[in-house]
Amino acid sequence: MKQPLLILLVSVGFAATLLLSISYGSVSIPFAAVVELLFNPDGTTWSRILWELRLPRALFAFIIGGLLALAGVLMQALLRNPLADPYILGTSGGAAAAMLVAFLLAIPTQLHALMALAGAAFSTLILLSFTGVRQGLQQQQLLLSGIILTTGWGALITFLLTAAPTAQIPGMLFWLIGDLGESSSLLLPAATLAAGLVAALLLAKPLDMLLLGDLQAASLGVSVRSLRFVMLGVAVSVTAIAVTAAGPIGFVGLVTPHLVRFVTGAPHRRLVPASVLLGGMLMMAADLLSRTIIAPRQMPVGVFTAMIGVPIFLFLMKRRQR
Amino acid sequence: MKALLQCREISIRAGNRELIHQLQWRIEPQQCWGILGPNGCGKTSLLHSLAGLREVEEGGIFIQQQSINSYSRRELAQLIGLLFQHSSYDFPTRVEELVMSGRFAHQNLLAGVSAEDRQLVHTAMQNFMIAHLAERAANTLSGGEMQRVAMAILHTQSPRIALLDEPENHLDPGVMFKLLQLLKEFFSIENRSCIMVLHDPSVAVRLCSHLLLLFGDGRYIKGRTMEIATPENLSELYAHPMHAVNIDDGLLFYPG
Repeated sequence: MKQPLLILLVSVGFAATLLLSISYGSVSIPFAAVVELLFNPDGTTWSRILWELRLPRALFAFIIGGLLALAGVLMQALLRNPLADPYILGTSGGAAAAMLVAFLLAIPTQLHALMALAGAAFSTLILLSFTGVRQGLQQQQLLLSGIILTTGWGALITFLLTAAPTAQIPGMLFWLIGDLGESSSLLLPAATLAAGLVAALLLAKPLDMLLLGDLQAASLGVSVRSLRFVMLGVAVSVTAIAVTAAGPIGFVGLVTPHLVRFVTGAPHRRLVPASVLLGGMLMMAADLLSRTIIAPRQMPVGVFTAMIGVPIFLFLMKRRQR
Repeated sequence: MKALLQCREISIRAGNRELIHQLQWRIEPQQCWGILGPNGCGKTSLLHSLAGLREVEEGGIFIQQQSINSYSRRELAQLIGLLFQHSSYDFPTRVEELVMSGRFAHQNLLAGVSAEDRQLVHTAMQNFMIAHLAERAANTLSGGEMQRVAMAILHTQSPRIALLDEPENHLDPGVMFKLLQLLKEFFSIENRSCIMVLHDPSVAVRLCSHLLLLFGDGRYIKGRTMEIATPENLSELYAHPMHAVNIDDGLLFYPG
């Protein structure tokens, strides 16, 4: 597709998603009023809902979606496997289990991100020490190890939930399925997304090379070891921050880069920004569904990303086998 | 003439077996070496060591009189390139962009693609008969097409020393010889040289100026092709009687 047309299409899509997601909720605001209030906030209830609730929420959803998509792109390049994703490989699970421990031990909120980071890094190290990171990594072996790890984290999470005081359980459950309702500060996720995006774009060329396999990339001049170390650090941090803020939300990281590759191909200078954009849009859309489908009650957004993501994942698996 | 590449008493082991024992080897510009030996004799390990992708168990490798360990990956990629035994690619990158990855070591990390880069990619794609695949996604290529893409990448990388690991893999006989001839001609002129691991001694005799025979038990012999490629040597190498016939001024080897 021609580039200008594509940019136009994406802009229109983004504007539409944003407009829909700030118009609908437990209270619906007509589009005309939304547009009017965006330019002239007037302190009415609608205006305050828009500015104090809906816009921050939409922005939050966008940032989380962007983080997850970025993590997916990086994992897929690092493991040279288009089916890799922090949720499937257990990285999110490790972060989630660590977060639950933090909840139960009443560790101060400021330290939660560090706990999640430790959990995510630990899980990734286990995965890599079992499957290795060298060329010739078996796709099935990697995915299977990831699924086993995820199951293990799931068991630990169930254990922690069962041991938790009853009053805490509903909140924990909601968070575990992925929840944008408890939006904390936007600052840390936004800064992480910006930093991760810049790092991935600066290293776009060597990341492209990594798709050829470690040995071939090295023989063409890439310092594979240091690149891998830096990018794995970025992927793990991005995942951990997303999990800290919104819980382990699945499938956005897996599906988004796949969909984007149909349009942009694999080169990272296009794939990275486009995936962040689409990941953010998908998350805004999923969040809209989670807020409206049984309004005024809300569903955890992870329900929708999984319900959309699972069939797409299965379809992509099937397609690869052919 | 000064050596382009030098092995000083290098030994290569796999587990506790010594495959190559204290190999002394000089490669000078314009030479084309063929490496022959039975399966598992250390041919690929040797090539990977020469490319700096694998540590040798003993001894040192020198490129232009400097230890291979003194070069950065980037500098090394400008000096030495490797065509791998198998190339596979799982992502939908356009073939033309993939061939451009040969220019990586010559490009600035942030700078765009230069006109010279584009010209080199174009030439390589013409030479290796993949110009018609330029827009194809690389994950849809057949084995033989991918092998030609890998050759084009090596050609655009344009290193001083080209290492080819079983370059005839996946290629049908119609194009195989033509493409090998092309690589050989490009990499054995001026200040370049070429080293290829081959299975077929007849191909080696047609292309290579020198041969290195690896017996897999530490022993090796090397020298000019005409002195090394004898039925006696090859029979011993493959532990099977090998015969030679003269055809059209060339030698054809076949197992008895």
